[in-house]
Amino acid sequence: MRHYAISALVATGLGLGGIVSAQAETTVTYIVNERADLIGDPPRNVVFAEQYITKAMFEPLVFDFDGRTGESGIVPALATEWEIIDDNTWHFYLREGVNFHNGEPFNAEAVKFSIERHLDPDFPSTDKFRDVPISEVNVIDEYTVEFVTETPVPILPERLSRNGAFILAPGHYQDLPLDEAAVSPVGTGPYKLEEFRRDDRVIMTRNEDWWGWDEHSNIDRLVIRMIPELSTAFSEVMSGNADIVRITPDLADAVEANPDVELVVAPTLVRAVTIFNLDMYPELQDPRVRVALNKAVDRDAMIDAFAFGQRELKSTTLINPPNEHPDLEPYPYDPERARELLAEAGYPDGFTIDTIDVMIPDSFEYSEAVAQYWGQIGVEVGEVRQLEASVMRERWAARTLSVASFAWSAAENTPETDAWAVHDDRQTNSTHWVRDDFLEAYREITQTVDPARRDELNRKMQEILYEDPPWVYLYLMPAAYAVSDRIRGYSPHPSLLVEDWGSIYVAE
Amino acid sequence: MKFILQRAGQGLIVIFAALTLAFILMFVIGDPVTMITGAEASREQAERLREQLGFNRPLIVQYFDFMFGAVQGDFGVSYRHQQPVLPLLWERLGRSAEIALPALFLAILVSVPAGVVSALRRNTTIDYSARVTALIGQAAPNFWVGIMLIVLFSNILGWLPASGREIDGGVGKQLSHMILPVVTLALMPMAYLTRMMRSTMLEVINEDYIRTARAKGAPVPRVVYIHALRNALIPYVTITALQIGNLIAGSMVVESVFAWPGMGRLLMDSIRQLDIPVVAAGLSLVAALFVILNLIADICYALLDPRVGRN
Repeated sequence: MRHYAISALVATGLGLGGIVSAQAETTVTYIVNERADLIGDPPRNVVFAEQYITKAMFEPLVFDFDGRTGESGIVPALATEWEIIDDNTWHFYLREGVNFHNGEPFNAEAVKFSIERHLDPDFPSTDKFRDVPISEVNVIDEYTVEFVTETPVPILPERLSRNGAFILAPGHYQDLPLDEAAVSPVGTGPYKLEEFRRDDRVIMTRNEDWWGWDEHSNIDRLVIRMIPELSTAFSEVMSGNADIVRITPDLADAVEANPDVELVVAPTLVRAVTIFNLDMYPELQDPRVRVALNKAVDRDAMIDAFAFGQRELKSTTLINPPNEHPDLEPYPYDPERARELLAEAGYPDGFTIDTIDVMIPDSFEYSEAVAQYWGQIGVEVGEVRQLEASVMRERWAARTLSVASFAWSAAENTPETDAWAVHDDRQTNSTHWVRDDFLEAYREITQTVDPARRDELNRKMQEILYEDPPWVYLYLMPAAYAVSDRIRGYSPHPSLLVEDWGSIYVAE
Repeated sequence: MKFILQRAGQGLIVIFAALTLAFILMFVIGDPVTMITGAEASREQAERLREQLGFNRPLIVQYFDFMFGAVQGDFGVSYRHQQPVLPLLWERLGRSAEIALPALFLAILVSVPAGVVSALRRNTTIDYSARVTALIGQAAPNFWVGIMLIVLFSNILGWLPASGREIDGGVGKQLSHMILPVVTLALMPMAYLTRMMRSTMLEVINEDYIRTARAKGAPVPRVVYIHALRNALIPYVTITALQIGNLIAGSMVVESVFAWPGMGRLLMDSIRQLDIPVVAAGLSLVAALFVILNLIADICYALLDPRVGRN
């Protein structure tokens, strides 16, 4: 009977507006909270909303998630198979018979064009794909493309899976001015652009020829709306005018009370953490103090309060599953031992941390809990304060954040990308935590293709991160979504950066 | 004439100051390069972008460059949209007007009769309820009012759409999307103007000439609507022009709440993303709007009340 309720609702909505019945067409509306501008040029995407949108119209060679099963792991997209020829050479075998939305054929030339266009030093992009040391992209034959790298890139497939390496139609982009490219998408993805209304919505229609449709696929039109205010976006889904929106946990009860909307709670790769600043607080230079602060917090209680009780999401180090160290356990809640460690380090009466700088709103609640727990072992936190985004970014870049809380996800789920936040070559390590043996292991793993050796190095890195923690590792934050109950086949992408749009369909 | 020129000159100074302020503010708030690249970009990438955008030049050079362009109407290219700024703003200014003008009209339409009745029926139930309603209208923050209206009319009653600007479908559908934002936006100026109308009306009906008119036996409606209202409207006109300011400020919030793709929302987003050219041009445009509206109000005032122009 539920479905009747929905169609009645939709019918009133349409009746009011006086629009002609859209019975035959299935439109699915997804809401993002940011404004997307650069929807036509994936390598220049900056905000998440743009990455969500381009993923509907473009494809990578390989993707790292299957929305039909909800499982992570590299799966074929525009490449069906790939192999490592030697440490620095990869071959990708391309899907045949694929056309771009404008009819151009997809082939090895298109791959070469797209990658070289982005890696051109003059191309105005700051996407992290530009760090991948690709020296050549060679066309072996129509459907075989060769990547040659300067140094080994063991995680090349993962790095090819994001917007920086989406494949664009060469004929279309060849001589297109950048300002036009920004709003003129031509890819191979499941949906193609129908209309872009700036600051409002992107309307896309089904690409009938997409290779990945299955017998369920029945969406004619995908609309991505940009609604900055969550209460408004939530209202649209609750009243049946939109289908999917990510919500904050406090709205979960309201979703469960609505028979037409389902609550989807999905695991993510977003680590809820509190990061130290060893430079600002000399007390934190002693690893025992940082271990004590890790043992002072009750992860189970925090997960019960803030993370839908999903205790299996506790973090052990900053490297996410499935790459986590099999023999390490999350720090147990042990305030006694924490106080002993503080005393051993020479701070029997604790010390004071001026502020916990909260870097994004999602991190605020648990930061207050962390401050409370620390207070119980004598480490007083003066203030938990939310930083304004621009201030946060500037301090982050300048490494002048105090002890800070962030929900941090690496775009690619690999040990080395997870470790980006704590090695000092990058902009984002504001902890001032430097361990030479860690850096050594890190540098080696980034160059090591052999899986056995990678595993050893990964374990070594995690052992260091465990005994000498630069962060308080808390848990992986689950994401909650309000989803119209007519939607099927939807599994949120755990990175919260994209979606697997092709898997979604609507119940008949 | 001299009066108008004087006012226009003052206006130019205000616009100039607004431009300077816009420029300074942006550099106080944060480093635009980190905002554009995201913190995951490497330092070399950030530096390259800094050079491309000219942020490595001395601040004073950037300032003169900015001012020189601004005077010619060239605010540069939006960092985020990668498009010239002014056309971006014009397009959205029109959409903002779609809800701001009806809101102003609605505010006038309600406030004049409400204020007059409130003044004439002073200290009656009508007066009290009008005053209390106005007080609430002025005190309630518009983001809260907006969300409450969405909950009531969209979620519970299902009469009106919650958000967005519709350009497909019939006029009815398009209008239905405008009702909630227009009402929300109108509340604050409506409340203020009602109170204003009431107090000027009260002032006027106690004037000697009204008493004279009443004494010589002029019919009450004629006294109220010809003699009193006409004079009471003089300060009201000025205040109404100034309410445009309230509307612009309100539109920042209301457009965000109702996902209306107008200028207020563009400015809000641009401030958040440190899109300096857009913010600077937006602030200057708002300042210019203010100055022009003030000027018009002054001129109207001078026309309606001959005493003003003379000194």
